[in-house]
Formats: sequence, structure tokens, C-alpha cells
Amino acid sequence: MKDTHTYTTHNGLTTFTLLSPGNEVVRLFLTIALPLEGKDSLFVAFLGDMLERGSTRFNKDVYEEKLEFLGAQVNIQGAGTHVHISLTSRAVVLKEVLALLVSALKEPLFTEEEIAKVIKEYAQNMREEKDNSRALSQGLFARKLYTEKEEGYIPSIEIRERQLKKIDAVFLAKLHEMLFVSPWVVSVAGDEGALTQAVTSLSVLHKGAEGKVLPDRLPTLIPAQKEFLVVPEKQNIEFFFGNRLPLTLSDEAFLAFSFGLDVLGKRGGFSGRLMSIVREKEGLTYSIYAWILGATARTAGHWQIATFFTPKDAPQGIASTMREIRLIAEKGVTDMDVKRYKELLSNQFRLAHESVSSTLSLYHNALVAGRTPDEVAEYPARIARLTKKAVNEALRTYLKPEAVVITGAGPTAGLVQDTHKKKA
Amino acid sequence: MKKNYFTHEKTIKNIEEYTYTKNGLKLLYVHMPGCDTVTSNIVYMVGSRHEARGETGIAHMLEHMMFKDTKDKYGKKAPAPRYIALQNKGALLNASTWTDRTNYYFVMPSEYLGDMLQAEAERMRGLILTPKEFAPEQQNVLSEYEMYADRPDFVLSTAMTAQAFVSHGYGHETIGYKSDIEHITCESLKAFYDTYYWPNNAYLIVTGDVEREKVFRLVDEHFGHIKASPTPIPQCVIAEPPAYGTRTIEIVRKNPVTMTSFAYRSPRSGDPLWAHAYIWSLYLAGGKLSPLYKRLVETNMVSAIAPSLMPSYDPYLVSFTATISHGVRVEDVQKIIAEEIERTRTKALSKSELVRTKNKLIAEIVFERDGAHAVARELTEYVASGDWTEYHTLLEKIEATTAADVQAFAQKWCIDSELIIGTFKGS
Repeated sequence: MKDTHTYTTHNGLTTFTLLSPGNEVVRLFLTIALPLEGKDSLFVAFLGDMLERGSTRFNKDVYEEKLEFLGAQVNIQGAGTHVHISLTSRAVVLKEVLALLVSALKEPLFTEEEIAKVIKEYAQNMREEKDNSRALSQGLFARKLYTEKEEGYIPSIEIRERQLKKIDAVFLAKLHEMLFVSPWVVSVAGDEGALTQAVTSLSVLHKGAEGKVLPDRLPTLIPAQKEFLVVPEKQNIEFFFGNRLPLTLSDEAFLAFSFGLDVLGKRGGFSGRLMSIVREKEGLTYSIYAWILGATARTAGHWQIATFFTPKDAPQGIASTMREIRLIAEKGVTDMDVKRYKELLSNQFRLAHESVSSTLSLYHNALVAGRTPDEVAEYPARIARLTKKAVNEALRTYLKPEAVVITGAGPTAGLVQDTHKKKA
Repeated sequence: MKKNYFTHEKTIKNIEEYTYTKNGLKLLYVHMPGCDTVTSNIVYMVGSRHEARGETGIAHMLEHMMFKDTKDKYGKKAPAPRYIALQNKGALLNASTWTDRTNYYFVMPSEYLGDMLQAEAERMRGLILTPKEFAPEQQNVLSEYEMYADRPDFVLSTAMTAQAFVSHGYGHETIGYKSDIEHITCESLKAFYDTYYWPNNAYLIVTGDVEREKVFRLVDEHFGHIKASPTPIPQCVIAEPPAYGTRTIEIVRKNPVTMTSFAYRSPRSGDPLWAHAYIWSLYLAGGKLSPLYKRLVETNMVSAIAPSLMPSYDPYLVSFTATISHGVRVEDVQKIIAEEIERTRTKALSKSELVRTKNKLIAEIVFERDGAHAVARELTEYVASGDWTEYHTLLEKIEATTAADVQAFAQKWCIDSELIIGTFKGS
């Protein structure tokens, strides 16, 4: 779609508007970065759920009923230390839908009865999570890589069960106060009138924000280790491989590393080496991809490979995955890889503009990560300028086969690990 | 002037249908200027309902093999599977198999349409099936099967569809049974391919920023040499017999999750009753105001409840599946589900219940229609269920549905003799 946008940022409030003339649908994303730590993610998720339970002006049923009558969708979710809100509405009813959202944000209703219901829901969800080997493996992996303070940390189920007991109306009210003095990113797509209406309605709620306190140095690599959890009665073992990536999005080497990691295991389709070799040639798994998570313009994240193998294939699967990591780290990418991925990535950038929602997501996610729209737009040119030398240097420096953390969850009885096998 | 081989069948709003007279390929074209991309999506009118006993999963297995080597229109083997070149240029591509159809799509910047259609045309009749390529792919599919087999919802759904359809091909999951997947051979795949993969059994959907004349020219260039099937495509005409009574299934397995599901026969897509079923299911369990959400989720008896209804060529299933909270008796949840279903038979929806359910449903459909790929994706399901005009008419049918229609649906279709109650009991 044709990209006509505006962008402003001031005092912790960033707004992005994408003009979509004649479009009768308005799409809006609002992300709020709370000044909390990774270990607090349960509280943020809980706050997100409670914000969807009506306000002092509209009780929960009235709130839901009005949304359904208006034919609008509003979703509020907490993840990590962020509250994410998405709104989709027809332009003709946007004013009423925004009034509902503003009320839900500004004057939420934290009744003991609702809190008790959500606590029970969470307890049940955590019980079900004990059978989710992918979530268990991922959680274990995150705890090995991140400190409790960092965004990428995922507290264990046991810790979250204890945290759940702390939540009451007073606790939530304190969390709620943070919403309006934390950094906001508001992105809207629609016609001109809708853009003005949406930005105006939400901007007045924001009271200004200091940036988050950031770590003063980049993380170091975690020593190689393997740990596996036993989840019985499963057909597959869910694996995560990876380590910290001591680079921010602003570092020149980030794009080069990301390019190299795409050659190894580009997400989606079969283009990455891992899919074409470990899946297609060796038939060891159905899906195996590599990508970077958690990096922003000012903080570092990690790289990871996610896959699964049957217990029988797991030893060979681990060996094949490690072989491919080692190969690309040591020998790097080829001229052909560079040529191929330059074209692939620049075309995929065009495809990211395929719909209004995908275009809006592209910019919104970049803004939340601390990038500007100009930096987003520069991406194809930066990809075009990348050299094989830069990519291979980044891979040699940051992809260390001797420092790969591996976690697994499932029927892992036959696997050798570094620490005692734990029961999930 | 070059002969025009495209017969215009109909145009409804922005969607145009043509028949390519050289071989019977159907073309749906949606012009979306300014989006800079194009989606090509070919829908073969063959899915898991066409599979014979002992060969379940073959349609899906063939879908996997369609990403292997092909011959071009001159009979020469391409140096590598065509999709690889497109993938290397950044195409979003994939395929999927469902009960009534198998589809393959590419999404790319508009200038690549010719490459996309070449790849699609070559694998339509030029697929090279070899045991060497087949063996690892069979392992991949078994790996996919194992991925599903871990999920309680899959296990429950497999058992319930098997119970719901004793004669019709809807009675097994698209992935097939493990033992059948293990026994598929290259020869059986070839026979299936030669039966169903013909232009006169396919719809090509092209949506995006490309002119009609260019689409015609490229379709003619790449599909022009392909002949229609030498024999008529076999049609699968099976009417599932009546059920004659409520059926219950219980699966007990070591697992922390317990689920229960209620399913009734649903009308086929295109039937106005399908819209009534859609509203009925969404009213009962489709949101926070729905009676089942209020009585089950709000009270923490279940952690989730969701309705399910898919467009289908023949009558399929409308169902509700709930994940039961620890310590709650399955029977208590089932009693509430039964009560709320019964209520829809005895009492019509109020005006406000009907209006908000319809508004919610229409919004869900309209909001999804964002971009060329989304339009092609939605059209796929209506093409497969026999009438693509449902893309537009479904909205009209929803608008026209009355509370009496919904009640009549509940009374005539949601009857005990058609009910299947399934339980996955974790321990």
C-alpha cells in the first residue's frame, strides 16, 4: 500500500499515523512500556486483563455490549513489561469506541470479585502450562539467558504462582498509575479524520514520561550448557538453542549478524539452511527456524533456534543443528547467499507493506523498539550496502558454537544433560 | 488480434470470474491497484474427503510433494523446484490441505506474477515423484503428525469426527492416520495426482496490483499447453446417514488438561442456514457476553470455550469445545452447555442479542479483509465449498437473519439424535 505517514515524539509520547484515504476501517496500536522488570511480567499481564473488565463508567457487561453493538474490537494484553492495546473499528463509530477505550484505561474497575476470577483463570492456565513442553522449554531457556531485571526473563510457573497471591486492588491501582507516566507509542491507520480523532483522544491521557533506566553495559555470553525437562506422554521434545547477542539495533554489526542468522534459519518457508538441510534433507523435524528476539535500539536481546525432534531423532537433531551453527560461524556465508538474501529481504520488506495492518505493525513494532520511521525506510538501502565480509565478521564474533545454551522439554529420558534432569 | 480464451462468467462487486476455455481452468481476479503486491492462489478441488479408506492423509502428503522437482512445458526437468527461486526472491509461499480442497499460494511484488504462474503451471502436470524425494518427506509428515498427536484438542477432534461421519470422507482428520501415512507409496501418490490435479479441477485466484490483460496473457503463456483431464474428475457424492441417537466418546490419557466438546451436524456453506448456524454458535460461545462464557468462564469452571464452524462443501460440524478447570466435574460443564443449547431452542434471541451478535460477526469478517492475500485466503474457502459468491452474499445472509431463523436452526439441526459429546479426560 502507498505509505503516507507522520511521526512525532515528545516527552515519552510517540505517535505515528498512516494515511489510508477512503478506508472505512481504522486500526490502532498503543504500546505502553511500564518501568518494571522481567520478573514482573505476570503483574503486567494481569493488569492488561483487568483493563478489559470495564470501568467505573461502563461496567464489564456494558463495555462488552457497547463494543459488540458498535462492531468494534479492542484487545488489551500485557506481555513482558509492556501493555499492548489494539483497536479496530469502522470510522463512523470511532468516536464511541475511543470513548470506551479511554474509559477502560482511565477509570478501570478493580473489584475484588473480578480480581478473584482472574486469579483463578491464571491458576488454571498455569496448570495447563505444565503440560506445554514448548512453553516450558522456552521459559527455562529465557531464565538461563536473562537476569530477573531484563525484559526477556520469564519467571517459572512456581514463582508466578507465588506472585499471584500478592495481587489485590491496591496492588493493581499502583500498577495502573504507572500507565500514564510511562513511554507510549500510538500508531493509527485510517482516513484523515480518524487519525486526528484517535491521536487527540489518546494523547490527552499521557502525562509525560522519563525513559526507562537501562543497563549500563551489554550482556556477556552465557557458558554452553544443556538442560532438559521431563514432560511425559509427549511425542516430541521441544528444543531451544541460542545465546545472548551483545548488540543493540543501533549497532552497525546488528544488521550483518541478523542477515547471517537469516541465512542459517530464516523464519517462514524453507529458505534457511536449517530447514533445507535438517528438515528437507535429513527429515529430522517439521520446523526449525532461527531469529533474534528482544533487541531494541538501546538494549540487547538474544538469538535462538526453535525446533522439535522425536526422542529417537533428538541426538542426531541436536548434532545436525550444532553442525550447521558451527559451519556458518566458521565458514560464513557465501557470495551466492549474500546475493540471494539481499533480494529476498528487500522484497520481503515490500511485502510487509501488503496490507494496512501489516504496514502499521511494521512501523509500530519498530517505534516500540526505539527506531524511527526513517530508519525503517532505510532498511532496503542498508541491506543493499551489506558486504559478505561484514556478515561473516559479525557471525564469527557473535555466533559462538562453543557457547550455545540448549534446553528441551518432553520425553527427554534418553538425553544427556549437564545438570540433573528435572521433572516439569 | 490474439484470440481471447477467457470466457467471462460473472462479476460480483470487485470479483471477476472467467473460464479459460483451452482447458477449463477457472480464474478469479480481484484488481487491487496501489498495493504493489500480487497473490496467486490455486485451489484444487480435492481434499481429505476424497481419500479412500487406508489412504487417509494422501491429499496432504501430495501437497508436501508438490514442492519437489518438476518438468517444464517442454518436458525438461527444471534445475531445482521452481518455488525455490521464488522463495529466494522473498516470496511468502505455502500450501494447505483441508477437507474439500488443497491450495498453494505465492505472495510477491507484482512484477513477479509470471514467475509465480510458471511455478504453479509446472507443478500442475509436471510433478516428478520419486521414492528418493518421497522418503524424507514422509518422515516430515510423520513428524507433523506427532506434533498434532500431542494436543488434547486434536485427539478429541479426531475421535469426534470419526464418530460423526461413518460413511462420508469428513470422518478423518486431514493429516490422516499414522498407519496410513506410513503406508502411502510413490505409486499411490502418482495415481491420486493423476486423478485430481488437472486445470478443470482447479480455481486460480489472482488478487492484487496487476491489470486483467496481463493476468490473461500470463495464464495463457503458462497454462496454455496443459490439457484438460482425459476423463471426468471423479466426484465424491456421499450422503452421511442419519445418526439415530446421541453418541458419547471418552478418551482417558495422562495429561493435566481435560476438555469436553459438543458437536452437531451443520448445514453446508452457501445454504442460508449456514449463516444461521454461524450466528447461533457465535451467540452461544463467541464472546464475553455469550451465555456459555458467562456461565462457564466467568465462574472459572472452564478456562476457555470456543465455537467452531467451517465453510464446507457438504454438511459438516458446528461445535463448542471447553477446557475444564482443575477440580470441576465434566458432567457439570456438560449440563450447562446442554441447558444453554436447549434455551436457544425454546426461546428466540432478543433483538439486542441478535443485533450485537450480527454486528460482531460482520466486523470480524470485514476487518479480516485487509490486503490482497487476505482476500485470496478467504475466497479459497468459499471456492472449495462450491460457491465463491458467498464472499459477498454471506454478509447479506447474516444481515437478513432473524431471531426466528436462529431458533429454527437450533430446533431442527441441534437435536439430540445428531449430538456427539466428546471428553478428553486428563489424569
